[in-house]
Amino acid sequence: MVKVQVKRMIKESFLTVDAIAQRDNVFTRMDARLKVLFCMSILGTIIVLPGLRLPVSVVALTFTAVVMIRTPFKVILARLVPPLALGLIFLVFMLLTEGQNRLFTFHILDIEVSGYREGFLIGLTILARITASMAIVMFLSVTTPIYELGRALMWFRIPEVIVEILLLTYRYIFVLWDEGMRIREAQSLRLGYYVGSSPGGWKRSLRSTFTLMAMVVIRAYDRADHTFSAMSLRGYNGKLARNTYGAWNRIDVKSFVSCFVLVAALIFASL
Amino acid sequence: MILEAREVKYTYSDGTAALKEVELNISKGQFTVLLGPNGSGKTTLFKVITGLIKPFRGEVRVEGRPFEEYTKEEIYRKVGFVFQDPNDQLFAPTVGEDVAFGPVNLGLSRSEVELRVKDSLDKVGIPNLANKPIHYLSYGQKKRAAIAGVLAMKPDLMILDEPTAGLDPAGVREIMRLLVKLNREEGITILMATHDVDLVPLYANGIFVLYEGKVVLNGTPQEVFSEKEIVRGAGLRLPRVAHLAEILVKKDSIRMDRLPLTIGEARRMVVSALKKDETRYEK
Amino acid sequence: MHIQDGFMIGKWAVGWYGVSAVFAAKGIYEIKKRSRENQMFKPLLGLFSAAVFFISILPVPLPGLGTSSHAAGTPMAAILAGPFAATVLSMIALLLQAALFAHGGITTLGANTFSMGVVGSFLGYGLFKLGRKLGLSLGVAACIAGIFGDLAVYVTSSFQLAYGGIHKLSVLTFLGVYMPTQLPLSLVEGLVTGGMVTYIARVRPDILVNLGIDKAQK
Repeated sequence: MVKVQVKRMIKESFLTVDAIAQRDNVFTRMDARLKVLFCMSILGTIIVLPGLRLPVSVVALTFTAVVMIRTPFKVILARLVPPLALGLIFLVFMLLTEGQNRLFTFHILDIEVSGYREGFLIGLTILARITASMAIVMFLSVTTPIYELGRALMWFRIPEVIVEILLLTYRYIFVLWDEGMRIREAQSLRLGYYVGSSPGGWKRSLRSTFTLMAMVVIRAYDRADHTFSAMSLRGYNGKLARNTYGAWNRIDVKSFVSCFVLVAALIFASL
Repeated sequence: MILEAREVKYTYSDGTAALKEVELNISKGQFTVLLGPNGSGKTTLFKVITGLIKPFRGEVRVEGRPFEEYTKEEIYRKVGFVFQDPNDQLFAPTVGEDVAFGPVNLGLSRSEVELRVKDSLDKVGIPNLANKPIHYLSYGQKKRAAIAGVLAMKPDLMILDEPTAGLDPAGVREIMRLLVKLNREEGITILMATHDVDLVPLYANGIFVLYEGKVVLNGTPQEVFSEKEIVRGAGLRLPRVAHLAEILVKKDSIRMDRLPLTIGEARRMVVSALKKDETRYEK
Repeated sequence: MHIQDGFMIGKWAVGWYGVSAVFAAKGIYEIKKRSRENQMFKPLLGLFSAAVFFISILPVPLPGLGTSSHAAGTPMAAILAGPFAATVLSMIALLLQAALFAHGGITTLGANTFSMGVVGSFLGYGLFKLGRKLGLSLGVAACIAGIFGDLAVYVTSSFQLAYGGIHKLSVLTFLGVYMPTQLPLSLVEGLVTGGMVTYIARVRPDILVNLGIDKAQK
């Protein structure tokens, strides 16, 4: 059961995020280059500047934006929980080990446990940074489809090869995913996966898993051959992606300026 | 003749003789069907004609000139190939970008590329899908997008490998109508492979039957399907309608002057046969 | 588990970007060169990249636990595409993972590319080649590459966190956190990698021959 759930969870998360980014709203209409620039500068600032105010206000702003475009709560939660859990563990760890100024003390079975103020502050800062970074990346990914991101990256002079392979990967994940899941279902029907903890069941599941993986690699190889043939018949000359940006849109530039002002104000406020 | 093949032979490196003796003659503006069961060599033949596999024996001529005299670029301007699985062909993230791939490679200007993309998408009936990511398309839409990608190269001859495979009946009808439209309105010569014999008489002017690497029959649908034994020997069958007519003639002694291949033809023949019967009884 | 955004301080994050960029640049150079020799190379890498991405999100069974975790897929990528190209593939996979499901991060992309795409793939590739030279079978060599390639990723991450983390903690602390879960996972990664290579060698030996991984049998 666990396996099935994991499978569904992963599938949902990557397909859902992709689907949300396809919707039409004020943020998806924005030029991807501006969104990338905006998010990267905020992300950089969060990492570089100390203090709590900037990350907290970024969290507030991005969450408002993400909720405004009706991102399902489940998606937000799915992305929020793992990093937040990690941050919380870190916070507790810091609270109990770092610093001199005791906030509280209690006893568990004669062991004295105390929380310290300095540790708490460090932990809290890290927690805020993690949440803020997560929030800003989430904002980018629910408003910008991968192919828009790829085009923007190319405009920012990220080597073409990287963008080309990124876009091919994005395109064929969906194809290979469907094929892989079909193979997996066929395997499951013939009892290829055992749920449980017997060593024999594990061995069988393992064998099914690597067989499925190998089959997907083989299919990827064959499909590369076909795809390459199809490309060459349409005059493939070694170039797969191209820069399709035209002149800047005036509304986009205006929104960029306002974004810039916002970032500056945020940074100023946090100093 | 837009395409001629003479004594084409091809053997794979593992020793399988995929094509043993292939003769093809396709004149401009035709709608030709290459009919053959699975494994008869249809895909291999198409790969030879489009230049995807090189060292074959025999001769292929495009518009009267031997294949070897053409540069790669000249060939893919003249001959377009639509793969059976549209996922093989559609590699770009969005429909528009994929259709633009060919024209960009032809070195066309940006505005000309955009024009061709728009034009091709219009012709295949998906003008609203230009910015749609390919993984959100239905299978039928993917087929259309793949056809648009080839159409944007403005080929004289369009070759399609099993364009109806994997589609539901409505999807098959739509794709076939699209191909007929491209053939009649755009003047594109069509050569498509299929093993769906019921489909053929409705659309094709000419048929080549390929079996075990050889062309065993060719001619109009009427000519080809009257050679019942050869058709059946080639791992195919008659169209259902023709089969029914055959039984009516044999078992119920209904007279038909020729074998009907479509429902319309069969209806006319049956009705006229019944009318003759009526007049006979009235006497 | 890759390093999350927010865990690493600015200058280290930038530094790791720099180090990874050197390897990625070599990788890009190699991909370009090999694409010129054989134009199919780029589409092939794209498809392999998608396949490795698929492998890395597929749950793998862990012995005794009944629950699942994920393989990294890096050693497999290195075996299939070579270590430098694998660096580029890892970078792309990490970017996609960060964007699509918040595994890893954007500011830590450089650090994660180094641990996974440089250390993981070079060690994996090196061990695979060494194993083959010592006469080990394809499966066993790939298995060893898988185990240590995967393990190396987490050891590297621990060092990166200990020295570049937001707060100084010892390497041992991070190893202590990582190892209980990563040790069994590495073993599974090894078995899965070995199994994959063996399966491909059995069913489609031509693929390994064409990629120069195995010699043609006469």
